[in-house]
Amino acid sequence: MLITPLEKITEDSSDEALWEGFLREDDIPFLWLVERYREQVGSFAWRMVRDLGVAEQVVLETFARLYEIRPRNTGRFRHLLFQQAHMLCVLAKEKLMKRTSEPTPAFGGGRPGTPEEAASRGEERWRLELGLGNIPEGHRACLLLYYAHQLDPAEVAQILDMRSHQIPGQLAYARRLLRDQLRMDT
Amino acid sequence: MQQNWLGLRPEDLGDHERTQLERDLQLSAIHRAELTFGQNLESLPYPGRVVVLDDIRTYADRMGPFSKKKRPMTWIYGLPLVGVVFGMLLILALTNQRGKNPATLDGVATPQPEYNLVGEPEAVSITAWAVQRTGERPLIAGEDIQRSERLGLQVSVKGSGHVVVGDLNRAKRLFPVDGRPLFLEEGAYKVGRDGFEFFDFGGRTGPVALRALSCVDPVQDWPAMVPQGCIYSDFEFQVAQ
Repeated sequence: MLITPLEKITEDSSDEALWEGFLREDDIPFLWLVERYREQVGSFAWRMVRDLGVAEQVVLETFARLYEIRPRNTGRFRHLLFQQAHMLCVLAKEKLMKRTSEPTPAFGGGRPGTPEEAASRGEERWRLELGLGNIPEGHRACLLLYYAHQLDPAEVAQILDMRSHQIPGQLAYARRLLRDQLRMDT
Repeated sequence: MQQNWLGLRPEDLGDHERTQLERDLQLSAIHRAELTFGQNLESLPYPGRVVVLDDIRTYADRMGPFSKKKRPMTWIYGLPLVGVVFGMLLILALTNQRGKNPATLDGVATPQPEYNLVGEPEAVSITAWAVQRTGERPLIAGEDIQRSERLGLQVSVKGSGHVVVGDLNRAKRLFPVDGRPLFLEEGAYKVGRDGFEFFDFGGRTGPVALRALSCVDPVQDWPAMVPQGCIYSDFEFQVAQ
């Protein structure tokens, strides 16, 4: 009888191997996954909701949900993670829309914690942040998920409730919008 | 032609697009520029606080649970209902233990009277025709038939009823011969012995009167008078010398 030895999970194991290790009642692989992805999820959430406090909450809740629900993952862990993060961003955005006491300006300084405010501090990426902040949310999410977080077109399509063949066109249009924003700023 | 695939990562391109890029240097340069432009987004940092596993656990304890946990042994809530149903069945069984069929209340099953009323006649009529070796001819009431000819009879019934055909002159039943009741639904029927046979009046001369009765109840033998609940129709003809 052939017995396949279990793969030893290390910090360098693949996301999926770490997730499987976590599902086998071991928290250490989850810790490594958190360390690997916390900044990526935070970066995505911050640029989607444009509020640092809310973005931090999205990061916490994304990982907390995965930690508690432990969904069976049939695809890439990255897809599962950003699916959860995007869903929470949409919910957070709806809550922020109702909280209209302090609207976020499209240009200029912006309130503390927003990408606009970070851009206005004169950092190198300020133009890109400003441009990104001014394109529609759907296109922004598409650009971030594909380029910044390395998801496949099929995965992006599933998260954004689209079809795979629509993603290249969506990306092309989003890049054009972003480029227009950068030109306007120049 | 719109080339939306420009700017996609190499692994997301199809063979056709790769071939196009290899052949067309200008297109390849545009593609590289688009891809680089998109990849600028990779380097965007996160200025927020970095979370650790303890933060996540604390958050989950404070804000959770995030999913509705399945309650164990939910079937137990159905037990009272099952109990009530069994109780009702038990009560029904006990109360019906001494119940009796109303038809057998005296302890012996009484035979129920047969249901005799099976139809209601509305009209009846007789049609006749004379049959000889060379053929047949319709017979009008009052006409003669030859002694060599035989008689065919047809009874038309409207509504439904027990039909009897008889000879008025001799007060004799002609059909049905065996005395059994014959119930006919609405329609026209040829009548005779053993299914269908012609009647032979060759041994007689002079007038013959036939009567067809259609009755609610079966008629025994041949009645002297038209019984109640019957309608009738007569047919007369002559047997020639």
